[in-house]
Amino acid sequence: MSEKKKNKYFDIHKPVFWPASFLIVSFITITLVIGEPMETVFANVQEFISDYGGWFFVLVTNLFLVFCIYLGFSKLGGIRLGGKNAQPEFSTAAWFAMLFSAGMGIGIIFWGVAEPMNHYLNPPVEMGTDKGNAMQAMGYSFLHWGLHAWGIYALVGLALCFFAFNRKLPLTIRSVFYPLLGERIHGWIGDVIDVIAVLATLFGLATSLGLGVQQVSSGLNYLFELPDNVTTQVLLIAAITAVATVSVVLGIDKGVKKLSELNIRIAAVFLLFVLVVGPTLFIFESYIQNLGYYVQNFFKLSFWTESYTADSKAGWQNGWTVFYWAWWISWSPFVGMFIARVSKGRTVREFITGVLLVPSLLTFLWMTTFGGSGIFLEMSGMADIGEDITSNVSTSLFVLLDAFPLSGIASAIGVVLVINFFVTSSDSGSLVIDSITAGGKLDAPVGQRIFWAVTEGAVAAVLLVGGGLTALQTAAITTGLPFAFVLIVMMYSLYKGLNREYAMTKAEDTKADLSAYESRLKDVIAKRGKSIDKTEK
Amino acid sequence: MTRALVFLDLSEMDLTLMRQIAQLNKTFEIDKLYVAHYIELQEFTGDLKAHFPNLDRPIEDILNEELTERAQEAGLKTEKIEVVLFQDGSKDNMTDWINQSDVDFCILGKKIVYRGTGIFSGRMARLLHKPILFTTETSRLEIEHLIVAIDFSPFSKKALEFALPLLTNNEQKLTAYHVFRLPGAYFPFVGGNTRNLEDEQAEDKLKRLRKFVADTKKADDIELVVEHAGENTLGKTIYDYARSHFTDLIVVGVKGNTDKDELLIGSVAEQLIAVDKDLPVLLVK
Repeated sequence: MSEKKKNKYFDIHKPVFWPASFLIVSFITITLVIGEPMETVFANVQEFISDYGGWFFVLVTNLFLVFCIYLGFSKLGGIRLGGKNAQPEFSTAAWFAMLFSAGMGIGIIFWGVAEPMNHYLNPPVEMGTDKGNAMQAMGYSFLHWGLHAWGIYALVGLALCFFAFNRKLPLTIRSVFYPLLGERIHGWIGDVIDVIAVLATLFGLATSLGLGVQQVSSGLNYLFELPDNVTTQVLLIAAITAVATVSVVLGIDKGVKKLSELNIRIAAVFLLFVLVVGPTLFIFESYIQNLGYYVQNFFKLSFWTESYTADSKAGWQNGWTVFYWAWWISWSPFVGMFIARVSKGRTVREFITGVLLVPSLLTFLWMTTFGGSGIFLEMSGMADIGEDITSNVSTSLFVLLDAFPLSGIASAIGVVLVINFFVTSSDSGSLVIDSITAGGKLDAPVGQRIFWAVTEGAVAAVLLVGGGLTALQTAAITTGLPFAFVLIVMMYSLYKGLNREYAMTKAEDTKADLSAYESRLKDVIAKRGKSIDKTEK
Repeated sequence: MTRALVFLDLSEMDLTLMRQIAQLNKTFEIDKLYVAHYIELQEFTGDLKAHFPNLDRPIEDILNEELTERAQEAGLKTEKIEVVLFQDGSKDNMTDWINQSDVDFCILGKKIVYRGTGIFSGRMARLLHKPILFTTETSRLEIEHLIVAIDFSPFSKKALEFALPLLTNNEQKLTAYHVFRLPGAYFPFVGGNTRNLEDEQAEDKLKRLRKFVADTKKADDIELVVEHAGENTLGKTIYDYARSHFTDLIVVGVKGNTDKDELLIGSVAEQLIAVDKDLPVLLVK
């Protein structure tokens, strides 16, 4: 890479950095200039893409999952990431813990209560009874947060891990296309791929940050009666981004690593707390039942496209399933890069089973604990929380906690947790985007990471100003669509790469046998034959 | 007249093999031992002389000398030993030669301890039409108890007939062994005790086994065993039985290949000769 600029604060790969920055800055400017009317634009774009592309998202996510399962259980499953003799860097328990933590974030705190409650109160398919609607609500929540989401991450993570550690290519999205493009990944096609990846990651992340800040704002409103409006939210973004910047400056070891370890502990305590104060027995029972429902209805749920739904109900999927699939796709480089970095030394089979099952099961428990408790309260009539939740989803966590003891402390912990996740997501997101825009380097200068951390905050703020939740969802869907095409090609490329690895390993085995034989033959010759050279001497 | 062929590859396994042949020779006299060696080089031009230009005599002579010396460890007279060298190029050469020769059976060492990859023995198992005896470093070839796996096919009849002459004295014992699996479909539909069903099947199979061996020589001396595979693979069940009953050799019949491209030798045989199994196995084709 000859075009890089050596500088104390910036070390960029120009053809990726500048186009990506230009597009993002133009987006921010346009939204700010147009202001309020942008909300309609966002809504129209979202509607257009989900109406016409919804089936496509449903199809490809299923495809990604099937592909991952195939890789895990075919002959290619035996390939070791990082080479034949690579040792796992982390023990299996630590690896599981890290996969768990990859599944934790603003998303499940924001939607944990809100999503199952929404599906329950506004069922995609009317089941006739409350019990039926509740069961279905959990089924769809599991669908959106389960194997399909992790199938997407597993695909990207596996591809990144394989090409970075087995092929020793830079850890960026373009490397994944080496089997198809060869050295051309360093050319303009590679640049285009990386620009798309940067945009997808940035907007996917901004969606998450936007949701997080909405929730923090609702929480502060609940706790201190601060006004819950866009101004507060933008100020919060500014403040939290400033904290994130400090964490960036402190570096990975002192900043993001400490914070995320702390965060996972708080989240675990939080989960246990709600498990205990909530309907404990119900949560355990329904966890089992929900799993059964999910498995039983797996194909029905995951291939459902709203085809035969009455018009009044149509559009449900756009706001949920399609949004999620696009969101997961758009920030798959983010999660993918994280799991790639911790999974060196695992076999493809271990990788697929670990990445698909471990975080899914934890997320299911979270959803059951929070969302299931909400449904339990609503169904049993112990608390009427449904209306508050549907009118403003970002309040849902606090509305739920309100029904339990120690709600003030619990809500405060909830707010801290979201803020903390905001900081760590922003920080590690900048790390990922930074790595892509620096041509795959892992230790790009701090100045650049501050730039991206600030940009993420700015994009999230601008999206909130320009249309709130709709704008956030539009951002994810719009950048998810082109990246979905990138992922389709990625499947083929990864398949080719793994197949070649398989053939190479076999050839190497033969070669090892041969060279062992040759050295034995040499010994025999040395013992018995006289070399003419030697006799001459 | 028994003619055996052994593959030597100049590794330490050669001596082990020769000691095992010496053991085998105690109960089962070998009249002629072919020592097959395959010269396999990484960058081979097709001309051995060009590959070893500085030698004072042909590489073939050197190998002949070395291999004969190794073979003598078996305690056989020199005139009973014949070295056959094969060159790199196509393995078909070697398998064709062996298949058309008067060799009665081949002996192949599987390497567990010395860490070979087992590619060679796998190939030979598929391509040779002669019976092959797979042994390992830890095998003992003083055959006191041998077991013949029987699935009532003509191939297992052949295996049984091949195994019988290996019994040369009264101390030796032969077990005809059949392993079966209840068809899965039984379980959901048959109420009551599956154990009974298993016993019933076992009884039937035992009758069938008795009939199967009835017309062979020494039929009365053959021990008959029928087992149910349970959760294990068939190969694993046979192997476990053999291990726990101090068997020295498992004989199994497989369909001989007529087609060279046919790459399968049957899953049971495959399981039995898998690298990690350390009992000698005789594949009869």
